[in-house]
Amino acid sequence: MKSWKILLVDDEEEFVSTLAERLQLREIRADTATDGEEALSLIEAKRPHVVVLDVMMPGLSGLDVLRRIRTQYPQVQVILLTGHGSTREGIEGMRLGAFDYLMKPIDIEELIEKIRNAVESSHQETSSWGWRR
Amino acid sequence: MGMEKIDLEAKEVAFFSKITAGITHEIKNVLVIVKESSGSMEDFLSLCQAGSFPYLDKISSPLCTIRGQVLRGVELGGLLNQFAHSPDKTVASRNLNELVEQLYFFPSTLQNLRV
Repeated sequence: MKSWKILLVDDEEEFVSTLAERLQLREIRADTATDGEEALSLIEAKRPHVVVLDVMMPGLSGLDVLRRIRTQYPQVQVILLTGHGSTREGIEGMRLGAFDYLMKPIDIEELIEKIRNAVESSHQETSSWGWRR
Repeated sequence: MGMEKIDLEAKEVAFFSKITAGITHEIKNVLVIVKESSGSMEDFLSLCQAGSFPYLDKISSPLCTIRGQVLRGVELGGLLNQFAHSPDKTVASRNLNELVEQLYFFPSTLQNLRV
């Protein structure tokens, strides 16, 4: 099992649970959350390397959660999942500091490649922070 | 046409557009879950060793069909979603490729409808 710490966030419980199971088959363990508040609690408790975050959620939207992550947990990388056939939300997310974005439905191998890049970037951010201290 | 009637029609269009956009979003969520679920089944089938499961091909083929039809549904829903959002702004910048795709898609789809 890889040492990556991943958090999947989407209000569709069946989507995140199935995706977590598919990742586990590929040696990647992932926690899941179904709303923004739960996601922020899990980020505080577990400090994941990467958060895979749906943009369109009731309550705190994905972009709201992204803003909170960028200010409070700068070493955590965010991959956004956008729902519509437009890249507009993804581009807006990148402007706010997301690492990358994917349009649903996702290709799992493409997601894993983006997670791998984001984990490497998270490690670099963490070591950079350590150097500053 | 009086201004009041134009205003009422604009509100009607906005209402139907909002409902259509919302429902296409939900349909897409359904399709995404179907795709992940069929993908999960494909993952487990791939773990079966050759010859250990006699119906491997019989199940793999419909799973492949499900994947293809999901993508077809997502494409159709995406175009309908964009169409539903088109009255959101009276003036807007548009991607020319997407616009041409819609101009081609809707007449050809209407022509093929079996109603």
